[in-house]
Amino acid sequence: MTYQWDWSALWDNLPLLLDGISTTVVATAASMAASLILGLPVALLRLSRPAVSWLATVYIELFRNLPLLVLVFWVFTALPLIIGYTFSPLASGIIALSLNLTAFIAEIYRAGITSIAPGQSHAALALGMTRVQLYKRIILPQAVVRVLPALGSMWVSLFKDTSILAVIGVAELMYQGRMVATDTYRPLEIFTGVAIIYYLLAYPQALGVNWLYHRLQVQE
Amino acid sequence: MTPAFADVLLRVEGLHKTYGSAPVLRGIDLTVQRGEVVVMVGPSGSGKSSFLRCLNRLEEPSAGHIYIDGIDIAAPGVKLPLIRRNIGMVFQHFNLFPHMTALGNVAEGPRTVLRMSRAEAEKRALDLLGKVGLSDKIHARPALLSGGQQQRVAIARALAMQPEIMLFDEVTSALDPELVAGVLGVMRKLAEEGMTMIVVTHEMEFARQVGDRIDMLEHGAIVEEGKPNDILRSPRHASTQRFLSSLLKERAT
Amino acid sequence: MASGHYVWDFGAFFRNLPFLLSGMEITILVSLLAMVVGSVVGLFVALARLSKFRPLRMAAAFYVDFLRATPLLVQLVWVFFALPILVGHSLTPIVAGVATLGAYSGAYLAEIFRAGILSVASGQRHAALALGMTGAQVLRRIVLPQAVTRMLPPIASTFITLVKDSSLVSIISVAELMWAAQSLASVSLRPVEVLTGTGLLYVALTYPLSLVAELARRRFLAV
Repeated sequence: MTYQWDWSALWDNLPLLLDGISTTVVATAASMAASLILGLPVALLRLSRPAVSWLATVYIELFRNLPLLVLVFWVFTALPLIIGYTFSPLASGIIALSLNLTAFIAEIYRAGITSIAPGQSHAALALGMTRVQLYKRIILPQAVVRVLPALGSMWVSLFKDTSILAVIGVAELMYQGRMVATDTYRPLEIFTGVAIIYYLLAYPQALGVNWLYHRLQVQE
Repeated sequence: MTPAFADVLLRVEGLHKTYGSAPVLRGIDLTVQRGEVVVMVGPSGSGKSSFLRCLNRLEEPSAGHIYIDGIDIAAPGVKLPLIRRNIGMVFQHFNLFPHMTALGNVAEGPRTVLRMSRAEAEKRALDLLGKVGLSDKIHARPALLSGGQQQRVAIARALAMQPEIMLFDEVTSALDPELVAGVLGVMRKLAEEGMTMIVVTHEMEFARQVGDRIDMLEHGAIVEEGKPNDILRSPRHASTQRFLSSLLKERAT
Repeated sequence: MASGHYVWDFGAFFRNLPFLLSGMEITILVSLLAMVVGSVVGLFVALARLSKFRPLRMAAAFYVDFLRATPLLVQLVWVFFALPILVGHSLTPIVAGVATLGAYSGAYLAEIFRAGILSVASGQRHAALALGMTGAQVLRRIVLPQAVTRMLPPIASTFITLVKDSSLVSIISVAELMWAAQSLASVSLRPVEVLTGTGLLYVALTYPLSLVAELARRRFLAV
């Protein structure tokens, strides 16, 4: 009563799965870009005076603690009813992923900024730099390099998290996998194939991030 | 080192600073003339570093006035970046910018703060690095320089702003003994050229040879003040005596 | 489409709160069970990665790499839909959910355990071995006691992540909080309030945990 494997279902439908990958990459890249940009003002807000930094803290704690699945459904189902405008599944997904990721990236930026020794700020201010010049010339250039490995980690997590968008109908890799599995009645081969594809895509990226961690040792 | 004409550059009146409930500076009054080299000594915790940092408002005074060229820079509404251009500061731990070369560090002030062109700023930086004896290290990053070399770059960086007064905060305390002389040599040359300097240090030989005056600080107040030879040979105040003898004991061991 | 402001009404949410809270109980149960499974798996895998036996080391490394490189959702769907075909025996949703979450967090915990064990300086191991202790005694008496305090903060954050990830088992029909919320949202026709309230329920669950984790981090990792 051994199971008869039939991998032809996977090979025949590979193009459909590969289509899904391109959507996965688009969703990842778009969300990452949005969060990299939005994360900086949130981080800077968190580092400013307590009277205003609480706003950033609330945002960060809210979106770090909210499960991604809940957020995705909320953006897809609830938000349109509130603002009277419907987003496409992909747009909803990107919005949800960005809201979530921005919170994490803001914390990464904050850690990077505060890791710059305060003595450098003293020296820069003593030369007569304004705070803006201090950030632009001294703090941010160094902080960016330091946070690169952590950002790389976030990218790899994000890449995997896009699979959640399948539940709202975004045609990324997981969604395509489910569709093909249903059509071919061969869930074992198809889902195994999907898992292997994710591994083949994500693992090298994870290795790349490890290399970043090794390469960018912090010297103080 | 003796000024050609008496001309007050810095006048501090009633400078107080409290951290929470702990008083750090208790009413300091001090005058520095153009071209004068004032050496400040005292035990740790006496407030020497806080005093220097109040002068360019890296720390905020709790009360008092600081007149530079007659303008009270401790008054509210003063634009800090502008006044800081005129005051050079060199730190105990150098605080060089690690992501820039020596040339980049020295040129950074002129470029970013004084808005000079890159070429002009680098020319000035080259001159100054030559002056401190580091022409062969202009493209080196701080991590590749010895402590003494880093401190000389830091001095050049402060000088690049062409300040009227230079503040030195225990700039040789973090250096290996054999590197101290190089830095002190640069500071001596600077003094000979007529720079107005306030130097916080334990280097008593330097104080004797280069200083115009020694001020002894204890518990946030100036307890004794006088010419180096006078103070070092016959200190009048008990604290000064204790402090100087403890320094000599350290030297002997 | 509403062009004016949305009119909020949390009535349906509050009336059905008990239903949601019973879902939350399942969420907590699943998370705790998965954490236990994950800890056991993690410890075995960590020790396997540290063993002298090369095939074991490599198998353990592959386990960690594979489970960390594939999305949790893919793993859940595979265990629930694909695995039964392979073994000829179906799994109940909750068993599939706990097993998958356990295996997944086990991969992350294995790395935490391994790093913790390695962080105890090897000199101590050598000293203990020189005294005549067996490897197991060294682990039990010298290494693990020290490693444990260092590992508590990342273990705490793994648990918090687990609680959030448990929402995914709703997709294989485990009747936890997210599943309850979706049922209620469609039945009550008030998805906005139900989903918003559910989100806040999750935050109410994980935020206190994250504060505890932060306290643990400050206490145990203070250099």
